[in-house]
Amino acid sequence: MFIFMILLFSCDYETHVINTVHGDGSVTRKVIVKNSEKKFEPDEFRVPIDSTWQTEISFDVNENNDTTWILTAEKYFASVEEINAEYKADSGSNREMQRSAHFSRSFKWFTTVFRFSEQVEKMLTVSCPMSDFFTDEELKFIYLPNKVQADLQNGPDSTMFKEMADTTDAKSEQWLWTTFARQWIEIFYDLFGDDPELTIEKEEMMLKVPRFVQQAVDEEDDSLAQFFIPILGEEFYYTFETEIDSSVSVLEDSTDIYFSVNSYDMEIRMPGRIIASNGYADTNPDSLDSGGILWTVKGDYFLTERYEMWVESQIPNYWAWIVTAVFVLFVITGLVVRSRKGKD
Amino acid sequence: MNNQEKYSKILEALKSNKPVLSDKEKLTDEIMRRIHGIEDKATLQKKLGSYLFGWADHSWIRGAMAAAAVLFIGIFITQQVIITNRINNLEKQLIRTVNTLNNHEPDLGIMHKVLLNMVARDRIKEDSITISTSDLEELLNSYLELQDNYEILKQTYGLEPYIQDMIRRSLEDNTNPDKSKLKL
Repeated sequence: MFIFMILLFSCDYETHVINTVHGDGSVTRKVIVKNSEKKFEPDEFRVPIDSTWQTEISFDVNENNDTTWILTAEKYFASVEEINAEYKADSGSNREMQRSAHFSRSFKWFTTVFRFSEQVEKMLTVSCPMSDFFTDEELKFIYLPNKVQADLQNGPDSTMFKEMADTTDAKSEQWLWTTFARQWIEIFYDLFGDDPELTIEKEEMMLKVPRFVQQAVDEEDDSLAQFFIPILGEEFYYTFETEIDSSVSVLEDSTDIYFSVNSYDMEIRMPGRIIASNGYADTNPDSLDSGGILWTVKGDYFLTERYEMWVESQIPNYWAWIVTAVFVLFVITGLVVRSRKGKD
Repeated sequence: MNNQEKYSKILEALKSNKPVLSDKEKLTDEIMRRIHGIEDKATLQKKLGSYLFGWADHSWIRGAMAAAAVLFIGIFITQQVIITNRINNLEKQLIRTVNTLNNHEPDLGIMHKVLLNMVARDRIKEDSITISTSDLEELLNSYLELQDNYEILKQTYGLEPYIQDMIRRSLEDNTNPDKSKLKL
């Protein structure tokens, strides 16, 4: 209970990552970490930071005289491959996350388009997209950074947003237990699907997922027997008691990553003008985050789907504009000269 | 003698005194060269025009060049329209974030919320107390402080194993969820 509460209310190591992407594909990465203590433990970092980074520690005291220690770390990466190498060697709290950065530049004559993305691979093998459970509007709300969600619930139209928050919370529970139920079935049949005594087909078991979910929502006892017997029957449970226990253990292991993920904020700043993204643009001129596109990275987003934070920008190729204008004028002149000749 | 006659006499006198040309042939050549130069200039303009815009005389090249020009203009317009649309879509995603400095609100993910619901639901039938967030924070801080002090004690004084076991058991008993009487 205490460990859970500590995990729940721990606000230390609040992390904001800023990727400033340059036109040649190099990236200047800045990480701002806030902590209530001066000492920063490297294994608690949400993103990889090591001795090769330039670091600086400062502090801020609020009106309640609470001191916040701020670690600012910065490093220049010649390419995204160097970022990916750091992700692979990460020893921080999110080391289990499979993260990667990607950069591409495409020449489109009048403009050059840059695309930068950071991806987190899904944690579970089963497919259970959030879009099956939430409306588009609810999904937009879910993907909003937490602070923005809280801001909306306390601002104008607060009733509407509070109602939406309640709805998404209820649906989230359904989605989460559905995911776990499907994953358990996947694991169970992968491990013991060949057992001759197993008479229930996998597809038939999948049809029982809603009952698993209902049981998970209603159940108050932690024992496996009390959970599985009402759904699968006593005979099935006692025949496969060991197998069920093993598959539940495997499920617990695979969901450990999910529980261990510590969320952080990601910001990407691009060369030229930003033209498209799946993130959120900050309009607050006083905010530290202004200038880029924002995302929150948290386990819910990549439990069953790959999570991609992408942004596209463009710079105009003015030389191509001039070349094109000259060419068009040349053609028009040629046509005019020709038409005059014809008249003569 | 009237004026008319005077002028006639002067003209006669001028006509009778013709200028003596030193190099008649050279002068003639120079005049002829300059006359040809004007013609050459006109020919050069024609040649240049023909060189630059000769393609316009061939219908298929004329068509291809016109098509290429239209294509370029078309691509330019299409790109601008697409970019404008994409920027308009992006503008819908504008947000006004709050300054995050000293914001100690916990970021609850779906799993955290679900677990919180479960804990709340499980505890609801048990004997329970309700405490404020500030009290809970104080409780957690005290717990963390106690844990830190215990670590320091352990490192500083090198406690006997049985004392360490005793303290650990005591801590475990205190943190046993079955024995906690909290209602969130």
